[in-house]
Amino acid sequence: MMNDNQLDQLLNAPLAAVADSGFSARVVVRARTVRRKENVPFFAAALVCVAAMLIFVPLLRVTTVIAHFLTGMAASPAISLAIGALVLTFTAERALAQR
Amino acid sequence: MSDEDILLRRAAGRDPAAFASLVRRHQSPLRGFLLRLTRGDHALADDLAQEAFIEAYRKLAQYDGRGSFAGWLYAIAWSRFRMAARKRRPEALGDDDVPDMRASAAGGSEARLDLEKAMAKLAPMERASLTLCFALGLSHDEAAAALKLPLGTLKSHVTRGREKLKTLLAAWERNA
Repeated sequence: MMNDNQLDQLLNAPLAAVADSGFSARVVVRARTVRRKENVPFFAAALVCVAAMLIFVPLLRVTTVIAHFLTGMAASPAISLAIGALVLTFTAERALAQR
Repeated sequence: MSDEDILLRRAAGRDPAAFASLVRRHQSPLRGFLLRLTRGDHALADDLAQEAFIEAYRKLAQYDGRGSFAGWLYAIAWSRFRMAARKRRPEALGDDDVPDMRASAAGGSEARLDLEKAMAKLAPMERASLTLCFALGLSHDEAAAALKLPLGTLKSHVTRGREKLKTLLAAWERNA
């Protein structure tokens, strides 16, 4: 018959090792999904805040200022020349690369 | 600061590599614990272990470092097991339906296999108390905290569980 010491010895033996067999990887993948889901409310809240701010932004005035600025840039001979040079350089580089 | 403390701090800061290291480090004892609680049901034990790790990941910032991380993890696993037991009633299995415990006693002797069979006949609380206090090496205080029991109650479960095991093993020995 088993005595107390033998039973204690048996009980104290560590549990049989369980092979990982991809378990840890599955847990980590699920944790990533959980994290992504946790971030959804944060991004939604940020989007709502931006949308709410846009209501108060004078969009018409902002677009007028931007249009005025772009027209000014297009009318500038220096900027036109610079853009022309950039386009020519890019085209030449591609043509050389294809040769 | 221990290696595990560093990993815990990094994992709490949502570092996936640190969390992966913690999972790799604790998966075997946690799954072994759940395998014993579920009486050798591999699929259920793995599901519960996965849920326990995910819950731990979510609540890592709440871990205060007072007890061991393993003890905290076993507490989560125990609560997951109890929730599943309420839903699935795994303990409703009859005595003759004790599942194959060879997996839990893998690589062990006949005595080890007998122990697993006898364990399967104990109440879940006794099984958990004995496993935490003996095989997983938690102190009585830690085990009581993990199972959310007063210290005296835990000790009663340990004593009663041991006595039941002795009786069962002795009866089998006589019949053999």
